[in-house]
Amino acid sequence: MDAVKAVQYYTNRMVTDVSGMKVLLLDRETTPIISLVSTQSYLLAKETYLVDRIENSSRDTMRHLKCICFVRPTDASLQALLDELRSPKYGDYYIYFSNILKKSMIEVLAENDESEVVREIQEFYADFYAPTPCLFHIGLVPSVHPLFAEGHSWNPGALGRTVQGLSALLLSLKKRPNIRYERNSAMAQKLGQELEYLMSHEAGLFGTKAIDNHAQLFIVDRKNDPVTPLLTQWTYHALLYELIGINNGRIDLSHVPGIRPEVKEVMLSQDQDTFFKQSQHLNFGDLGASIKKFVEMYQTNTKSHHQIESIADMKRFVEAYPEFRKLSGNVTKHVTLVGELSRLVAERHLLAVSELEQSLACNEQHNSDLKALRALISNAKITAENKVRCAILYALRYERAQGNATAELKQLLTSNGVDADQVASIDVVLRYAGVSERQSDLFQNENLFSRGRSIFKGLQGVENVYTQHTPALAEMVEQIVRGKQGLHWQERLPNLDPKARPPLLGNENGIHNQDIIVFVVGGVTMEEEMAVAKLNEKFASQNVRLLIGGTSIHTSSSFLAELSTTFFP
Amino acid sequence: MGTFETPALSCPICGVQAGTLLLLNMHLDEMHSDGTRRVAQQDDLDDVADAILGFFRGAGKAVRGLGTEQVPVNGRVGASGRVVEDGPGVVRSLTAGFMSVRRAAVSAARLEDNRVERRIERLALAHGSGDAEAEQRVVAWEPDGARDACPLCARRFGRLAVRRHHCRICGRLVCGSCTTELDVGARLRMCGDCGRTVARIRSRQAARPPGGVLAAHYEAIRAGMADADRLLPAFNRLLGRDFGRAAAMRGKLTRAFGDADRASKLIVALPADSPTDARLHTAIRRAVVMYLQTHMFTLSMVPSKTGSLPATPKPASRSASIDQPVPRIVSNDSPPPVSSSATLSSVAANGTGGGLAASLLSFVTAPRSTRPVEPVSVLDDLVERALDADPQRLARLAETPLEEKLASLQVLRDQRQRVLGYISKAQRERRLEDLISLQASLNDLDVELSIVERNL
Repeated sequence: MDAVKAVQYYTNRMVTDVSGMKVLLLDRETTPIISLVSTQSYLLAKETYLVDRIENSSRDTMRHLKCICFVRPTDASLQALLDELRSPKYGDYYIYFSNILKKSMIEVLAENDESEVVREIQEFYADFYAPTPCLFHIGLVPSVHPLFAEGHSWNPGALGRTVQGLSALLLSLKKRPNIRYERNSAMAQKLGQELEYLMSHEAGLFGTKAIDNHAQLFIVDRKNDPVTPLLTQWTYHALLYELIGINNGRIDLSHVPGIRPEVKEVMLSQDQDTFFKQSQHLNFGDLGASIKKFVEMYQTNTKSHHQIESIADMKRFVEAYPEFRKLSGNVTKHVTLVGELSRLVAERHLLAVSELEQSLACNEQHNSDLKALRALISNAKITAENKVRCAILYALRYERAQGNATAELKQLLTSNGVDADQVASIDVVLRYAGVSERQSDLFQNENLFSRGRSIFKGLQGVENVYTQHTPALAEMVEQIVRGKQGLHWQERLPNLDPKARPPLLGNENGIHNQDIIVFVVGGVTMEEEMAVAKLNEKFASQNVRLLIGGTSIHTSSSFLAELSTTFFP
Repeated sequence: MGTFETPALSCPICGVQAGTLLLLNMHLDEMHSDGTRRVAQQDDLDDVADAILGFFRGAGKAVRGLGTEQVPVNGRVGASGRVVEDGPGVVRSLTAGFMSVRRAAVSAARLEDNRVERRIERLALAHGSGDAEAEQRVVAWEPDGARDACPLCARRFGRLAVRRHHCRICGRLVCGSCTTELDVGARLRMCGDCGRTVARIRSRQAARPPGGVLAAHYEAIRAGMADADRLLPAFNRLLGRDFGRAAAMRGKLTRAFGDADRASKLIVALPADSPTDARLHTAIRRAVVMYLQTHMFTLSMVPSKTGSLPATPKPASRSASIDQPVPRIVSNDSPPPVSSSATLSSVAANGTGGGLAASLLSFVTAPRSTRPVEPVSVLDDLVERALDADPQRLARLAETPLEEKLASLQVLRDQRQRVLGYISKAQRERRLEDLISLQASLNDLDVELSIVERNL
């Protein structure tokens, strides 16, 4: 149940099964999938000396090379492959498709291989993105595959791509799971049905003895928790996503003031970078301590006696020692990244924003929240995006509350110079995931009993005001696995097949010995990734393994952008 | 295909009626090819038999290159491919189904290739006679009125805009823009379909180029790495146990590393046919540099590792006994290899590498002669000052065991070597600020070295 290893297994097979001088041909979609899990030095060590795109028609002919061709069976890539076979540029071809190839297509390819250059044709199901071991996504981009058709229904292209990506993930893990879906979500149900149809249709792949059919797939809908993608995240990995942006493992720092040329674009990889592996889930405060230790370790090695008290000191230290900069590109990289993060946090006053966000997400205090929110909106130092995010959180929590002031806040936003489009995103989110659309009592404020529980939770005290929030999804999974709510949850998350045996999952003591894949229609967040990573550690003794995925990885801005086209009032 | 069934077709040589142009040209191929063929060989006769059989097997369907229909396909891909069940992820091989379809397609194509090859041969001879009718005795032409549109691009023939041409290889009427000229001594106009067949024949005849020099060097790299991979585990086991044998093996290892290093440098030096070729050469060199950096590391660990072991011979004589006479880096032109990607790529980009294997080995011996002699008085002065700053220093040094002193000496020398590399690089790139701080670290290192060396 490791998404990264699943893709690496296929990559490794491709480049090791064939020995000799090789070129790797990828297409537009397989390139980012492969580059997320492997590095250039890895490919070099496997005699893969050139990497190119199959769409690139100006490649030179090199008959002495063997060609490893890994493409998605899309129309464009198949056409490019046909052209390649008609006038082959390399000596031998080993072709791997990242998903199921239509039978008729095999014939067309065979008929066009008149020079008999093809040695192998195989399906290797690496058709999903694997940024971390417990996280995968389908990589839906609104410009290519808009998620929604109208309202809460699938755009056919996005549905097709999601079914393909999810079925590839299942094949890469050898699972044929029982499917459960959130009862109130037509999209989750539709996805489940399409996937089930595909799995029963492809009996040759999903029906063999090697396939584990005890796993569970929970298909859930983002609309039941619109809060998590709206919150400022404080872990290293999530902060990088939210504030700087990670594009398939690459971080573009070229816009950072005074950046050194060698760190204009950096790569993040859990495999190669132990500091990142250890620190990705640290919150911002612990991260500072961790990177200080990291720098000090190198400082002792280089026998320097500079005092290091701040991020600025670290930057100065790294810059003062050019030789050290080369020896430890990694330190430079992380000092630069953390430096940029702290600059952005200060510039955007994110600590103040986050405190209010967390209060809105976790505690029921209408009057004080409203007061704080008004002050925030009137504060000229806060960015419009952050004002709007807080206003959306308010509108969601107090949607049914007495004295709801959403209308007044909208006016206040407008009078403080926020764009009409941005203000409208409050209504966009309410239309997408207002209380009438949601299934669970997200804020625990809908009845007397849950309100009492919410207050009790508030009294327990919190370690850190910025990280009080736990994603609803993680809470749900934790309660399910620990059996805290008995078996009631199974009504909210019913089996897709009403005749599924056994009809109930686990017993009153919770769940043991079970692989669970959670898939979020509408995008997953890094906060959820971290929560699942922690749950995995917690449930290791119960032998429960979790994997989370989604149609894409969302930050607050990509989340709002995806909704705005469909749910605009 | 109505136009193909024009009844007016008869053989220009024997007058026999043929149903279609296709059949007529087959007839010409089989019955009247002797006159233009030099010697009929048994092979050719077999080909003829094959061709006729092949044609009748596919009767009713046009063969590729003549009709627009596809080749008949016998082998269909099975309902489901074979599922391979090893390893963590599911893998499905479609190779068997692919191959069976390809066999059918290729054998049909081969027949067609043979036929076209022979026609071209005869046409070339006929053309030499300067007689247009001679050409038509090899390949009969479709009558001008047989079709009113080009069969390839479907444009209607007109008087000027889209003119009729006869493909000399299949005899069909096609428009000018769908033809190309084939130069076989004579210039033959041919249609796009026949053009593809000709291209296919050519690409098959242009046999796979022998790998040549690149392949030879590449084999040397692989052989060197294979030797090293085989020797290294044994070498690591011997370390600290059997010194004599380790030393002997070290020689072999050094040779294996050296072979790979040398071959990869030769590859980089090869002339590149194209930018891609150059990229390939550089990438191979980079891969070898990476390999050496990872695997020669153990070799350079030897002295410090053994230094901490008890009951070993006296360090000074030991290091002399185990080290092979390797070339030392005298110039600091190339930065010493370190595990930084920047250096790695610069090594590869320069294409020189400056004797990587040698330079790595020289880390072990850290030849003192490479150190430019500092003006003694200045250095002494600095040493004095450093000792003044820390009066207990000498006392602590005196208590340190010899092995430890030697180990730290080794580390200092390594560092010094690296800094020297950076200095020369900074000089080349005119990074003056870097130079100043580098020079400072070099001075610090020299002071440290002197202190330790004087108190051995």
